[in-house]
Amino acid sequence: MLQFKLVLLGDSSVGKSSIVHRFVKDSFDEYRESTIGAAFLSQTIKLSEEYDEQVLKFEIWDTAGQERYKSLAPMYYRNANAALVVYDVTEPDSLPKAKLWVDELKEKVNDDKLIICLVGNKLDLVSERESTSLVDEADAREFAQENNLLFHQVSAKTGENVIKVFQDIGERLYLQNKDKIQESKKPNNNNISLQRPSTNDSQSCCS
Amino acid sequence: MNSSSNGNRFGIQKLEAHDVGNVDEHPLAIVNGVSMMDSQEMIELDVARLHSGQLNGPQEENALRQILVNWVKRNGVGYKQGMHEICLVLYLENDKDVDECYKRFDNVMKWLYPLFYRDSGVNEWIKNDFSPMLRKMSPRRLYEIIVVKFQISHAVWCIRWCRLLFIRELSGPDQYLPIWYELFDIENKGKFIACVTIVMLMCIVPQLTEAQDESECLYLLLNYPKLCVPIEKVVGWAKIMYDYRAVNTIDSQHADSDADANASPLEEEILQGSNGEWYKKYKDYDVNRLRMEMRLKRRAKWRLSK
Repeated sequence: MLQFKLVLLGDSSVGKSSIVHRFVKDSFDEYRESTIGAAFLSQTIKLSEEYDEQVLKFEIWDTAGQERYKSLAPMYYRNANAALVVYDVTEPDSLPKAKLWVDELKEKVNDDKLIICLVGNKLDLVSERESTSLVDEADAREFAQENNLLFHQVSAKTGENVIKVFQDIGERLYLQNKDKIQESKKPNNNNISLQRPSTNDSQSCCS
Repeated sequence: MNSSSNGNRFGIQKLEAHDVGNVDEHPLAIVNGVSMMDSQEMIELDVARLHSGQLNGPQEENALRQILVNWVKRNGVGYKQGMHEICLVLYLENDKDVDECYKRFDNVMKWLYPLFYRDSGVNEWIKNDFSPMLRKMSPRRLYEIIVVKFQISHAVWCIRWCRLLFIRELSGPDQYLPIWYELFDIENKGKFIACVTIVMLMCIVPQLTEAQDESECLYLLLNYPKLCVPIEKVVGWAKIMYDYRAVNTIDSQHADSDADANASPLEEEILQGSNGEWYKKYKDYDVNRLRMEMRLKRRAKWRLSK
């Protein structure tokens, strides 16, 4: 089974855990307790025919929003293959914070292969809000383009577009690793992990 | 940051030139490098997300917010997520008496903050208390699986265990309060928390042994299964472990010696008491051999199902 490490980052209360729960358990709770440290879940997806119907397993690290300014975050995004940087479309302050996360990832992970997806959540609330109190979609889209990020707007509550995010990332990962995947399909080689080796580097945590 | 003469009890330096009491009234105040607005906003959000069935309406939510806001202001430290859950437990335990809850919360934070909420706290605890004890108490099993085989950094999973004092790992106050009450009276809190953590890990040794990769192992550590023994047993074993260390401190300096690689009698007792059937069958197995056997079993099952 192909395994990839995916991490969720973003300001507090933007709905990171809700996105994960929609993806992993196809459920939604109006009230979700704050994540402390991080949560860990996994889910497999099957890509379309175009991508060989490849099955991928995501190991998902869902981090606490407050850790932006702390030093805990690096131990969760270290060795990640993909990152969802989440903001709340009804909370204009949350986009600049998402941008800071993107900057941090680019600077600290410094790996061209890391797939970053900018995700605007709570799309279901857009219709009931004044457009002036919303994040401008064009702004977010432009930032994503300039920084070579994937971009999606989703609703963890209704489920809209959530699977699409993971499919999109899965397809990129497939293309990125196509050669290794072909190799792994040869006889006696049916279990391969494409994660970079994990390290036990305690320096990047809490220092 | 080290404690100094003008630092507060958490070792964080106070700004001498300012009258902190006035400064932090301003919404944009930064006290000791901590933005009071950030703390207040975060408290606001976290308390709203508690959604405890035991809080009746906005008035009680506000009482809880006020306790937390007052506490961070008076101590000049930043609020950290998790404090709100500790505070809620104490609020309910003290019949929603705000003053009493503040006192109790302040008392708990006196040791809990430096241990686990301070930035380098968790790592220091791992280095000084948890790691040496894990290696000593379970060299052939827990240490072998978590550290040697899967090379998992303890910090990634134990932050929540420690900061919330097992609230999320256990199934409710009936399970975590007996641990808390023991903890309130015990002298070396960090050491006792390490003991409880290790006992809880010993209770899931069969599942940890079956984990085929790092991911399965992490899943267990971050989604602790339902406790398989009464909580009184966990507390009892943790107390024995706590005292056991006290009389064996010299040995711990020789963790590499052959003698230490042998099974610890307490671990055998805990395994027997928590997973009797499993223990009877596999007690003499090496964990790596056992993992291999489990893998073969899984493969056979998978082939048969095809």
